Amino acid sequence: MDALPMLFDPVLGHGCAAALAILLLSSAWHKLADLAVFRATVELYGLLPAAAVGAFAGLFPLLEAAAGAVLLLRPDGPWMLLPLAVLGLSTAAILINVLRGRTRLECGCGGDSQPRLSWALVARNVALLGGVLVAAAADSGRPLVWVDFLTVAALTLALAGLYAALNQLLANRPESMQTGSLS
Amino acid sequence: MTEALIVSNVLQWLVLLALVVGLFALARQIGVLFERIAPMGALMLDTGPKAGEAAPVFTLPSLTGPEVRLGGSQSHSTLLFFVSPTCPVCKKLLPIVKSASRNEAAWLRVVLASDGEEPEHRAFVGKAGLGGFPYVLSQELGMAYRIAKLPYAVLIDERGRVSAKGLVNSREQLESLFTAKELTVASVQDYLEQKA
Repeated sequence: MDALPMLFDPVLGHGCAAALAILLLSSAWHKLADLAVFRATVELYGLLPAAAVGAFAGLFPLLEAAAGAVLLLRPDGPWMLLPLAVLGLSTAAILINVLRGRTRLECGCGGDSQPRLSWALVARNVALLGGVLVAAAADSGRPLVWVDFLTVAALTLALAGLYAALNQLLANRPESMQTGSLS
Repeated sequence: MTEALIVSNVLQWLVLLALVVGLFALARQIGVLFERIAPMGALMLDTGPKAGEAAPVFTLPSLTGPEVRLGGSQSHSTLLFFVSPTCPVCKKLLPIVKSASRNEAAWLRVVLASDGEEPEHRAFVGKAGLGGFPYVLSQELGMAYRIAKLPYAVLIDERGRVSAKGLVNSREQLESLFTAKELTVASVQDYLEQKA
């Protein structure tokens, strides 16, 4: 089996889609659970006029949840533009603030570990966007057998676990804890 | 043969998942270690001046008015509230601190504290409407209380003793500091333990 067709194998696609769905749904849940903090995060990103911050902060977690649902239920065709757009938007927002040098901001990615903005975070998001593309490109040609479902389940857990570990490592970075000790 | 491969595959997945869990646990432990050795010390309640101990005395310039004296005998209790312009939870809590300061004005004064570059903080004071509070910038103050995470609140009573302190994420947590002072216990958890 060549390496390239393996990239389009449905098992890899399903695994990526399910792991990304977990990520987007949990992230949306964290934002909705404490909307005031997400609102403040949007304001601190400093990309929207004050009047639009409230509406965006209310809308974005819903879009994120919808994107997660798309990945679970219809990971194909034009629907996949939604997760691409949601992740693309947050990546662009992070990128702009990193370019502005505002690397003391917390990313507000949801979850307990809150990495600060950095190039590493941009790279992480680009990898997530790559995951969406892999999920979208999955070829449904090969019929799945029972071992495949086992692989998808294990792959999903492994990817979600790796993401959590990566986030924790990004939040740990000592240099980001020492600049401006109080913030 | 196929069966052997399936068994081997399942075993490998199990080992891989165990490794991922281990990796996450290690990363988390490194995070905890960093918090303990960070310049600001730990987030744990048992470092820095303990509840009941005398608060360190500081006289610091305020961005919004005359010099502020912290610690020692005072006419009012002091809520020392550590914030930063880049912390979303602080932003959420500031209106709550403002309303608490209005409601508890009879016995409480609120002092905001941070560190870093002055222009950034001046802009923050203007934008968030904090002109009514003393606002001090001091790295020494943060170090004295071993602040590692924000927003962090320290309640100092009129006699200059720390009566309660802790990481504050909500209105309830802020009010629990006041309750702890009324009950003269270090924290509501201590009170519940005493009762139990």
